[in-house]
Order: sequence, then C-alpha cells, then structure tokens
Amino acid sequence: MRRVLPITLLALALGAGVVRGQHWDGRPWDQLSPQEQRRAWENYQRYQNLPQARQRMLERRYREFQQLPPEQQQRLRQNYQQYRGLAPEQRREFSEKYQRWKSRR
Amino acid sequence: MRCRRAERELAAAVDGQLDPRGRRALDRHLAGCAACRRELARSAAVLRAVAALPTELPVSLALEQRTLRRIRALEDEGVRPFAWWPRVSVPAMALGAALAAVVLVRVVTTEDAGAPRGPAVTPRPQVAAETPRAAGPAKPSVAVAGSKRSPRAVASVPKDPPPELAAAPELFVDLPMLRHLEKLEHFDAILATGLDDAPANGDGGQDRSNG
Repeated sequence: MRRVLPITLLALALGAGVVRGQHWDGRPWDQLSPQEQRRAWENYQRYQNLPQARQRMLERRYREFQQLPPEQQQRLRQNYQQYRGLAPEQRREFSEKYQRWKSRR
Repeated sequence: MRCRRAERELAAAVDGQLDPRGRRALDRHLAGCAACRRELARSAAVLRAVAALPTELPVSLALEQRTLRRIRALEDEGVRPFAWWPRVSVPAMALGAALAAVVLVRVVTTEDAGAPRGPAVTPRPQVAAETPRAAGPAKPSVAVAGSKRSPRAVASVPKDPPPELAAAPELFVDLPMLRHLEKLEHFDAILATGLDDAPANGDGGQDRSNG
C-alpha cells in the first residue's frame, strides 16, 4: 500500500505533464499578426474564466477542427463570418432556428 | 414646540415613527398651528399617493417573450454579462488597480522616452527590449517604442504569452468560432429551419428530424 500511493501520484503527475505538454498543430505565436495576437490574448483571458469541462470541450473541438480538410475548415470560417455578420435580430432568429433544429434532430 | 421643529417631526409622525411623548408634543403644537396642520395633511396625502402606486408594472406578453428569447439566445452563445463581477474580491480589485497604475506609468514613460525633455531623459532599457523579437514582416510588434499603437494594445498583449497560450495560439484566435462549431457545421440546415410548426428541412432539403 505504501508503494501504491507514490506510484499513483507519479502517474498522475506524468499524466498531467502529458496533458500540459500536449502537442498542438498550427502556427506558433510569433507567426500571428498583431491583431491575431491581441485576439488570442483576449480570448485566452475569457477561456481562463470558463469551467474546466468547457475548456476541455473547446480543446476537443479545436482538435477536430484541425483534422478537417482545409476546404472544410475554410467553409466553417466562411460560415462563421456570415454568422458574425448577422444583425442582432437575425442572430436572435438564427438562435431560435438552431434550438428548433436541434430539438428535431 | 415651534414650527421649525414641528416640521422636522412631521415626517416621522406620518410614518408612525414618532415616540408617544414626541407625538403628544406635536399634537399640542398642531392644535394651535393651522400652517403645520396643512403641512401634515399634504405630507400624508403624498405618502398615500405613493403607497397607492403599483409595485409591479404590467408588461406585455410580447415584450416578455422577446426578453426571454433574448436571454436564451445569450445563454446559448455563452454570454454571461458581468459574470465575473461578483467574484472579484476587494483585494483582487486593489491588485488590479495597482497593476493598472503600473501599466499607466509604464505607458506614460514609454511615450515620454522619445520626447526631447532634456539631458536627464533617456530611453528606458525596457523599451529597447520591447522592440520586435525577430525581424520579418509577419513578426508582431507588441510594444514598439514610438509606434502609433494604442496604449491599451501595448498594455494588454503580453510580450511573452503564457505557456498555454503559446502552445496553441490558434486555438485562442479561433475560440469564438469553436464555440459555435456545431452551428457552423450545419449552418445552411439551421438557416433553412422554419420557425413555424411545419417540419423543418435539413441540408439540401432533406429532413434531419431523424437525426
């Protein structure tokens, strides 16, 4: 029993290290434009305030996004731009449609 | 009791908060002072009118529904207005104020460094260290001395990002998009969804209700 605890702790520490040191694809910080850096920094601060489960979910989505073919990534980016361009009333309507669509799936 | 004191006691009397002794003294004064009696009557009338006002105003059903839909939409988008506020403790606010003061001083001194103020003013070494870390057009200029960037931008973006941010900067650039990924994947289908009671069509007109 005495050996189990240190081994467990070591495994947990190593596991945490693996998670922390996980490899992410994508451009490094220095290759982002100043605008992107600012956006990343602001979003990072918001991310810090999210519950851990939501943080993990976003990381998972990021991985999924990275694994998509470039043309599909591009399509999603275009959709996002379109979504961002919606007027408040259109955005509200879209959210309602989304709820409706989701409930019918 | 004189009128001046009686006026002070009137409000307490109307509210029923005057002690019996004070009330008796006031009543004696009122018995012989028509002006204060009128004042008492006016105050009582005002209080009655205020008490008669409804505490809740009726809201139309349409407004209520719109408000509720808006709240749901905001929740769906993950917007939590001022969600951080109740969690900020006094020491944290003090620390934040101190940091803001440091940043302000730094910005002011950075801007002053290039101004010809006299022989004693020399550019701070820290400013030199903040010049771009590497050459190249795509390199960031987070805090370049003499640049036209706003003080907010200079103060907000750190020169060296935290490890988590440095490890996956694009994750954070795309964070808002990632939040809406499901919506974006099915963007066209959602747009095509009707808000009436009729069944909605999915992508390309196919019914997605079977999911």
